[in-house]
Amino acid sequence: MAALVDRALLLLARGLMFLAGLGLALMMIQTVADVVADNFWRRPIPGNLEVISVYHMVLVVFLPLAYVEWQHENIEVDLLWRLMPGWLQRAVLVLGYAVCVAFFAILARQTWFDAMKAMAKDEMMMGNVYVLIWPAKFVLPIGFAAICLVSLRHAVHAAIDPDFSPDPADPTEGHI
Amino acid sequence: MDNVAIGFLGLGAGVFLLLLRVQIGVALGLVSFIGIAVLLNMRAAWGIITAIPFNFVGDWNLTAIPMFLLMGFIASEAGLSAGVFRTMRLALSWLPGGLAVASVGASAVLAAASGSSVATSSAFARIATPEMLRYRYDPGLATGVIAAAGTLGSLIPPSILMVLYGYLAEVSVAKLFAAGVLPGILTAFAFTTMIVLRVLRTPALAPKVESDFTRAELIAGLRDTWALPVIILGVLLGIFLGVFTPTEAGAVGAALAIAVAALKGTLTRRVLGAGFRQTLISTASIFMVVVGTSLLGRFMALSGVPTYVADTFIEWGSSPLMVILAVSLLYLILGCFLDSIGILLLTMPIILPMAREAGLDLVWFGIILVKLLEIGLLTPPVGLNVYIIKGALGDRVSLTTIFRGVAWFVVVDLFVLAFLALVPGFTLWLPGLVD
Amino acid sequence: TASVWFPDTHPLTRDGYMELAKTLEETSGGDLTLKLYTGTSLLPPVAHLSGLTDGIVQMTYHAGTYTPSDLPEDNTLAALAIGLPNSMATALAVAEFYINDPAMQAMFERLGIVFLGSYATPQYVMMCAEEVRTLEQVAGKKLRMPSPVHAAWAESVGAVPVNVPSSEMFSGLEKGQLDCAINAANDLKSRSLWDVAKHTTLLGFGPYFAGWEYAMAQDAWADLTDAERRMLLDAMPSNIVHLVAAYFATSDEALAEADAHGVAVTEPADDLANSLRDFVANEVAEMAVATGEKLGAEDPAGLASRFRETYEKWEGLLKDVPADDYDAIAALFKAEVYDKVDASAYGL
Ligand code: NA
Ligand code: NA
Repeated sequence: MAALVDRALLLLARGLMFLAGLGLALMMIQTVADVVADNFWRRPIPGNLEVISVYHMVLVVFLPLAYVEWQHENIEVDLLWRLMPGWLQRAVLVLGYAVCVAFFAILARQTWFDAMKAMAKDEMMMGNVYVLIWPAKFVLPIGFAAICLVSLRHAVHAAIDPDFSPDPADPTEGHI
Repeated sequence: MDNVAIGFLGLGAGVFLLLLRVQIGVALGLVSFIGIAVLLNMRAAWGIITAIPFNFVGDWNLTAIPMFLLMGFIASEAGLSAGVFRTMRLALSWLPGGLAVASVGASAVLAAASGSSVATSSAFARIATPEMLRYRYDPGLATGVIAAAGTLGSLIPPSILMVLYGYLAEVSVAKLFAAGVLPGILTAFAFTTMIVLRVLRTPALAPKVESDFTRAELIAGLRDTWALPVIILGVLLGIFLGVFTPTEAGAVGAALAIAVAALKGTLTRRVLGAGFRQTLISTASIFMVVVGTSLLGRFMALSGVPTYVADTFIEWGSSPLMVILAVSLLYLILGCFLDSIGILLLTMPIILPMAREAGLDLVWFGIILVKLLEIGLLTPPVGLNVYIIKGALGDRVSLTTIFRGVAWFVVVDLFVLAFLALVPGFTLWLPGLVD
Repeated sequence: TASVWFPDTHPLTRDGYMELAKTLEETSGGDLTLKLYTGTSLLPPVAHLSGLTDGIVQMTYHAGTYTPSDLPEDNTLAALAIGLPNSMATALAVAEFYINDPAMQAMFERLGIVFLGSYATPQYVMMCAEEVRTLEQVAGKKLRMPSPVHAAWAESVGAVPVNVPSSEMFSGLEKGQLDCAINAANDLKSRSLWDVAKHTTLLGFGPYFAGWEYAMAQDAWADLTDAERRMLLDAMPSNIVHLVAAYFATSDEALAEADAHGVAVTEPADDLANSLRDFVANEVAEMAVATGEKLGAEDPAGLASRFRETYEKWEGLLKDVPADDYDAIAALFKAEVYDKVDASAYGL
């Protein structure tokens, strides 16, 4: 059962990562295309800037969250934690994951309502042209709900699995 | 209880959660959500959640962050930096401590193609350090130099930290980039000087390396090295000639890195996959901190803590030097525990008004902050660049040894910092020319 | 509490909000105070509407074009701006129209906010890296346009409308990614555009007035006493007239100092001016209606024509008052608009 849940979650996290990767590739390609169009034909692509900053940016930022959490690579401070005795470490871990679950649930709930409201009013953004932006707003609740589920999984494992390790696969990833 | 007290209580709760290993974005975000609910009401707290993540992230100026990250990760994953180290080594091995000096030079070159210090350090941790250890360099020097030279990644443009700072302080990123060049080069020279002097005094630190290479070897090395300079030159020229903006430069640089790697034949699916994966992981983690700290910023603004702190500070006198000293102290302390993005975003709401009040030039101030954050990457107990070396070398060198080796560079960094703080004109000369 | 995202030095903040806070403090003897958040420390610019409806602050400035889907009626009228040559008349007409027109009041009612005061920028002008005075010169130029309507005019004269973030306006002009920025002339000084845009053409592109200078959340407005609401309403006319005047002054000052920075300030050639006039006469009304329909406003045609009437009325009224006698304009504005508002009924 637990293994099945893990497989499903990992699949979800990887799927979202893949979509985020598409967003990243498009961000690069469209920006370069705009630079080329601007310099060769003096004609930048209308609405390109809005699409890149609203759609691709949101994909790149919010969809990888679940995978990052799966790998335990979110930025945190584990100095004090390392000094704690084993039983306290586990208790603190469970508590910490519970806090994450709560916060991501809050974000997922509110951004979901916001996205529904945006869809209801056909939300647009004004530049030189009007660009429809409500679909991008649905990316947030998806990303937040996914990381919420992964955090929940970690909370459960931290509580029941004595071998659970919160150490990142590569401790330096995710920092600059 | 008045608002300022609630603000400080919230900050305390945030720090408590941080110490309990809760990730930065969540700890600060949750505390702010609750804090705003207490200060105003639930409806306002939900409202802030609506207002922040989407509007803050969907911003054109910030697209430079994933793009510069991608450029740096592709460059290092595709091994474009290995050739640079080889050439630097051929050219500089006659110097005392030649391999270490070559590492500084190669790091400075990669720094110009990478926005991140961590990426710069990790690229050479696997290439240069083992070489130095093989030639029986002092382990402290062999590891310390890579950790320290890696910090050039954020000082020499492009720089993710500068993009973020410029965005928050409403300062031109182009000017910040220009302002980082001379301090970056100065730091590299200071490191080099220190290495040479140390090795002259204690030759055992860095035994002489056989340096009877032929002209043919140097040319072959150069031929292998063109990739990185092509990318760097392409990006710099493009910005300078107005072919694209600094924001677009990241995307052009990333595309260029992919194209160059393809030409060199080192672009595999693994390289692309790893480059994309690392970029996405870094971007998402960075922006989780951005979201959390910007929620905190709103909570702080509502509580009046920043004004309170600034007022208190002004009471003790807010001369520019005082501000710089106070901020340096704060950053050096925080630098021991927190990662650089966290420190920058956490402190901006409070120190930015102080810097404005004291009439500091915000471009110069930004460079000082970046320099301070870079020192934080080297100081124990949490020194990310040190961990990177440790991660790459495993059990061959102890953490203590690396920290000891790094200490020399931190001392040099402090001198450079003092110089930058006392002579703003040095930093501001280049951005002044850009105008 | 109130929030305006412009910095302390901007006329909409300095001469608007900061002055209003002072006036209220004086007239109420310190009972009615305004805690002001400036810049984006509290809310991002786009969120100055949701911040109001979510109860984060009680009063905001808001640029209406940032949230077109929430403010279809406001955006319909904003599309007419290019054809309004008198900025002062625009500001006054907006206040009268937004307070009295049923469609506008329905819009505010729907959002749960109460409109209190308007603003308008000085006429937008062209700040260019090279001379652009004639139709021939404008062809092929890359222009940063403030709205789709302005962009359509650019297309009609063979120019290329581009979208450059305001943060990149300076470097864009410097490096040639941009030939002209169409904006209020105070940007010459406040954004140092005079260092890179050496040619300013005084082709009047209309003001920007979308959204509001002052609006309050309904519940906060209802919590005030009748006397306090009256005090706020009475403070409006003089505050608005003087803030618009101060905005003019910053723009005029920038233009006056531009010469010393080597900027040539010129009138457009006839062919260019005519092209804009023809465009306004033939296309703009239709485009405004199309905007309204796209965003879901009811009867945008009626809305636009009613607003035009109000604007023309104010253009007429202002003919009888010296253009720089701001106290007289404020008195007229007060008598015509704010004195007629019932503080015990409006917005409740
Ligand atoms: Na760099
Ligand atoms: Na540290």
